[in-house]
Amino acid sequence: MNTVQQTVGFCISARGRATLTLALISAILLRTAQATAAALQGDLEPWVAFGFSVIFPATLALLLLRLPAAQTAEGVLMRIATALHMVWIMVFPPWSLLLLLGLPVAFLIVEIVETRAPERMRVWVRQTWVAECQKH
Amino acid sequence: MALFVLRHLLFLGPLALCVWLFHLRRGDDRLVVGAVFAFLYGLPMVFVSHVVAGHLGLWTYGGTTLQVLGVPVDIWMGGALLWGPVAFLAAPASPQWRAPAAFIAINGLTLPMLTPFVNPGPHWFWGVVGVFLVAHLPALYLAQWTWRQIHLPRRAFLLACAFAPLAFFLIPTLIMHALGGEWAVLTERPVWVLALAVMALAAVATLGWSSVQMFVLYGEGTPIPLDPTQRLVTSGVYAYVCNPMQLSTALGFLVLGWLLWNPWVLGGAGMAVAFVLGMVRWHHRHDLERRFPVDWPRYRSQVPEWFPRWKPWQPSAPASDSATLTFDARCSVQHAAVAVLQALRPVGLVCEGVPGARMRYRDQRSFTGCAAWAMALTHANFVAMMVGSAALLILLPVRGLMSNQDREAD
Repeated sequence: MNTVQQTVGFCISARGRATLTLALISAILLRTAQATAAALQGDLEPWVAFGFSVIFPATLALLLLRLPAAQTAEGVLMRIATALHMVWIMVFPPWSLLLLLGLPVAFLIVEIVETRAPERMRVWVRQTWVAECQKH
Repeated sequence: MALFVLRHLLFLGPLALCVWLFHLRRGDDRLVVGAVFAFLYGLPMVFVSHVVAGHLGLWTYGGTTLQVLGVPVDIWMGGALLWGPVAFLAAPASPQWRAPAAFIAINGLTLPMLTPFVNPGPHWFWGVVGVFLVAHLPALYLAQWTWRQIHLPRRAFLLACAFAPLAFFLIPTLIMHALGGEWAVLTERPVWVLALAVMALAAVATLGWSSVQMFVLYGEGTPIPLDPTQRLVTSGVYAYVCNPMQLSTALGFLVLGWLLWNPWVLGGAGMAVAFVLGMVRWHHRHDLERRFPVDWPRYRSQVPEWFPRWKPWQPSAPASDSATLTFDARCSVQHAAVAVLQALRPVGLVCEGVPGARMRYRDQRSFTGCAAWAMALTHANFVAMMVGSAALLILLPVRGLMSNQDREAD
């Protein structure tokens, strides 16, 4: 008989997932509106860049949201930080390259929260963003 | 409108295929790691080869949207995806020689039709062949070798080859694109400044590449955690500093920042530090500390993260487990070489003179001849280790190539 070994893993909480999805949709809508407004004024450049500067980061963020359970809660926070970073990159196109180059700062913030932040804050972050789930 | 459709097709097409193929192949972890490595290799190499092609006049791109050094970012990324992960995941087991035919046929047919987006020069066809040989074919081999878990030294070599242009060309280029500055200022620098910078970068590269070599020799893995080492590596450069690759990257940014006289590139060193504090420490805590619960904390307590020790750290092991350098006591050259070594008071190394013996270094591995002496140098002090590591970076690949040729001749 085949048995499936299940262990406890960590994933993004339902609330965290909803928040990130909402942020992602808002960012896409914002950039679509900006590109449309520019096109109406004869500037097609935002539409030419749309695939790379909107669809690409949105796809990466979506893939991060759909990854299987992580071994640690900190791993989930790293994914969330990266997904949020992708949202910033989409929302602030003039600074998108700078934000991309600053990606290590997102990991640093998670590390600071996990190792240096007060216990209360760490617990709040974990309760808000991370949930335990089954890992196959 | 045509440009809009074309650029989206050339980028979103490969992206969609890539996502779909990753989804299809998600059950096979090694396959996925191979595909990721193909992308990691292709990303800097496609960019560098397209910049070179532009400078040689093989082709130029029209328009200005999303261009870095004349290369459209979406086309570059689309190429790295299509002829890396997509081509590999589509047919992972197929012989790689099939890919050039497809690549050259597709590019050869489409490139002349893309005017004015792409303006081909008179020798564009050779450019297509060159880009494939430099950027895409090695990516496909890297993916296949990673998937099959073969040719570890070649895999590590390709990853190291890709990391150098990524860290020391692509990232500084992006920094200057975002914040100001250009490579052209190098032409205004005096020759002695350039010579000094080349020497400094050579030392920095030795530090980084040597750490990759130690991972292969002593850890049987690559520096990338997706394809990790099997053992904790504490030999060579790792006996002096525990993050040699990140140290090498940070120092590289400092040298380039000074050479380009660009504070933003100089600040790239800060990002390397942030990467260590954020990502590397997390990896150490959740991977190395779990896999090596005794050895890692002991090693980490003795070996610093950034400022190398002067003398190497050696785990306190019985004398029988120490590294040994055997040499021919009757050979004056070997005798002199060992005398130099002993004058440097090596740590954790026993030298044994045996009449008629070939020079041989033994610890978990065995090296002979000049490589044995170079490896023994890594036990002396930081400067001697750098000299020994530089020698090993040349000697071991040359020997590997020669032994391969011998095997093929047999």
